[in-house]
Amino acid sequence: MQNRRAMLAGMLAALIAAPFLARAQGTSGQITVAAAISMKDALEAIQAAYGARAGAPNITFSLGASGILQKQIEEGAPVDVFISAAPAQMNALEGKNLLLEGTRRDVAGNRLVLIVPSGSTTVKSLDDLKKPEVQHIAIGEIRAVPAGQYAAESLRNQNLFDALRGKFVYAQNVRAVLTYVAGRDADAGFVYETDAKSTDKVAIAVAMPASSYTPVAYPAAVIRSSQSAGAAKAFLEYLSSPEGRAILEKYGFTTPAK
Amino acid sequence: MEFHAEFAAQRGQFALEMRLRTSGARVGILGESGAGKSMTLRAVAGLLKPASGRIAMGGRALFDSSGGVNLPARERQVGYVFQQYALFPHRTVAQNAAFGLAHLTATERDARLRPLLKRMHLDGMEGRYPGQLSGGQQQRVALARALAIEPQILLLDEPLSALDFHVRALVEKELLDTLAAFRGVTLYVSHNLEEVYRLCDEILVLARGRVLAFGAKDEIFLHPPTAEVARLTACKNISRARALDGMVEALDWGLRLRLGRTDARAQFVGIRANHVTFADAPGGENVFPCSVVESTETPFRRTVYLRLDDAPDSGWHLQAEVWKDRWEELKNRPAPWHVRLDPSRLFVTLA
Amino acid sequence: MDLSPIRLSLEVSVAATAVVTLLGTLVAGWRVRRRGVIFELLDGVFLLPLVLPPTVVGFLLLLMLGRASPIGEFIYQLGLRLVFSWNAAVIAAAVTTFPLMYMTARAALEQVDASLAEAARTLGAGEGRIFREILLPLAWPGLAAGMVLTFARALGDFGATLILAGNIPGRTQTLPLAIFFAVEAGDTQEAVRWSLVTVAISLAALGALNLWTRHRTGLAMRVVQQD
Repeated sequence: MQNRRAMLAGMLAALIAAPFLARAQGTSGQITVAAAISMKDALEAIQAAYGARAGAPNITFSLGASGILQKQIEEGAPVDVFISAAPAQMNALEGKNLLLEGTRRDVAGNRLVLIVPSGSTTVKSLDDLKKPEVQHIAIGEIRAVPAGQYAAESLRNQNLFDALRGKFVYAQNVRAVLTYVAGRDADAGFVYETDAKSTDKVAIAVAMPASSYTPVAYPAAVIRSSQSAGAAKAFLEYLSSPEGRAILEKYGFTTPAK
Repeated sequence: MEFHAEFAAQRGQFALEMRLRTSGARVGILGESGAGKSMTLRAVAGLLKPASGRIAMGGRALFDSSGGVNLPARERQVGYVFQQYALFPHRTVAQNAAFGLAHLTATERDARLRPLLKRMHLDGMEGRYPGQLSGGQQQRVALARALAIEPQILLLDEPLSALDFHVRALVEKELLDTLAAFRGVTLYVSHNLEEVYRLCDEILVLARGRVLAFGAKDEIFLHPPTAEVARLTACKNISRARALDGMVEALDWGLRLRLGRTDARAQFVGIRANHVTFADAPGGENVFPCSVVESTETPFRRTVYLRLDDAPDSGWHLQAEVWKDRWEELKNRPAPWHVRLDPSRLFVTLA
Repeated sequence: MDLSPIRLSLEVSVAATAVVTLLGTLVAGWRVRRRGVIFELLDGVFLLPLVLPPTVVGFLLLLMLGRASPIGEFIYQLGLRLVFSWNAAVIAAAVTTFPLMYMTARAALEQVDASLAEAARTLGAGEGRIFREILLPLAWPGLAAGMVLTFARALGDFGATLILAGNIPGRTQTLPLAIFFAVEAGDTQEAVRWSLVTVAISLAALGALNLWTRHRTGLAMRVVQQD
């Protein structure tokens, strides 16, 4: 009986300690990168390339809407690097002094496009969106999804927002917009060019005029509370390196002039 | 009208083979738990489908495997009184009794129910719910409900077993009156012999899914066809036997007996405990010396365990049941006593 | 302030509860006391929405009913606009709550004494009458509990609703969706407001439902309980 008790106690202790042990180990060879979900495919490629290098740390990605990620970091989520799909979220963190000085930089850019299900001919211009055949336009939730913010800004500047808002279906991230249009449940949607290129089930109908919206910049920074600041900075360096930029451009991002 | 049920039915590992043909009124189905009694009722009611066979009432087939007939329960016109009554707890007495009469108009229903409920002493209780009734009252409602549909066949599954002991006699008497007035065939299932004997005309003895005996009740009780049937009908005194010069030798008792009705092929001989009497003097026909080993009491009778002086082994051999007043007469007699086995009460069986 | 999430949540939950109560009870009634491997398999299918994460349920529904599937295209050609509609919200809530009602209804129906149905059968009742007059009334307390569970779960559905019905204020944005997007947008005040409203409504609605079902149960149980 004594032995069994001791064994159970040992197992329980091990179970409770495990997460802490794992965490402790993480500080040396592990970084967590929170990034906008629109960068998913490109980041996977970057992880493969970066990870192949000798001495590279283990990278864990946490992908989601920039607004949610921002909230999580504010609440203390253990993130080492944050890449946002719009400046607003990064500004919020900067304002709360949560960024490591000197590490913020823009790592990529993107273009906003209007997509339709591939093979659809109903929409050829932005005005076509007003047609009655167009019933559902998928757009990222404006307050939380940067792509939605940009689309709203662009439409407002072209005086189309009020005419179209009754048809909007607000998605929680850009990938969801893509799914809705690719499945033909939405007649059209606003996504980044990178998203549009990721599947052949959608076609780009219109490239939103660059002058109608703030240029899409993807700022990145190291979080002040990071336990692996060195590894985090190195990762950011890689993103701005020629190798990193090549990968980003391959997936349709624009890269800032150095 | 003739009722006829000959079928084979299966439930899990248990197999039932039923053979029953009667034009009589009340058939008691006697057997121990697990003999197949309830299964028989369920097959007749249509709640269980036999594997093969035929069940018919007055020429109308309820089930016929060769003819592809299997009437659903609701078309069989069978009144079933379940062991636990199965009264609908959310319906009143009147609603329970009227449940099978939904196809009648309200006036017709009323016309049929009013006299029925009165006969069953349920008038005044129409608005009560089963939960507010005593056991005996519930049983009457169950019976009324079954009779209301004017069935051709009435099935009673141990109707008295759920009742408290002191109520049983009264309800049994009422049941007898009700059954006497019923014009169809009644199948009365019980493991209680006395009930079955009192309420039925014919008895079917069932054991392990097989019919061991069927016939008029006296025939079964007084002349059981086999030793097992004798035992199942609570005959206490049975001995292995063989015929010998027109007499019967009871091997377990060491006696030679003269019988009113005998058979050269006899294997067993027996006599009922209440037919064992005592002679005042030795030496008469079928009179043998004996001594009392012990005796036990019931409220009205005494059971006496007798040892036969001429028997090959020790211990007791016969049970006798005497009324208490007779016992008072007997008990002070000096030993040896003399037991008499009336030749007209002895029976032999071939198996 | 746009109060449509409140109206939508109530409408959708009531509609879903009504549909699921009817469907769940009928299917359970059909299933009761039938044995066999095929029925066990069916049970697995019926329980699936409970086992899968709601988002997955929503996604599977979208796969089946969205225009990309043959069924979805067929529905579209019939003139029905299912995805992103109020009906989709009801369907999403109904699918996720069906297992709850089904399991509860089955248990409630099965615990009704089998000999009652048999007695009814010998008295000439068909299966429909037995179901209506014997099984349903006596299973009522269990069915009522199932309804309460269903309503509560329907009120709180998020994942399945979001994917199949989408987030369209005024048409499909129920309270859980409104709360979620308020949190996403960083508007804590709005999120808290909607959360408090949801709690208040849930307590009120569940309280009312409980009262109503207990009243009906009382009628039935009063006569049963006196044994």
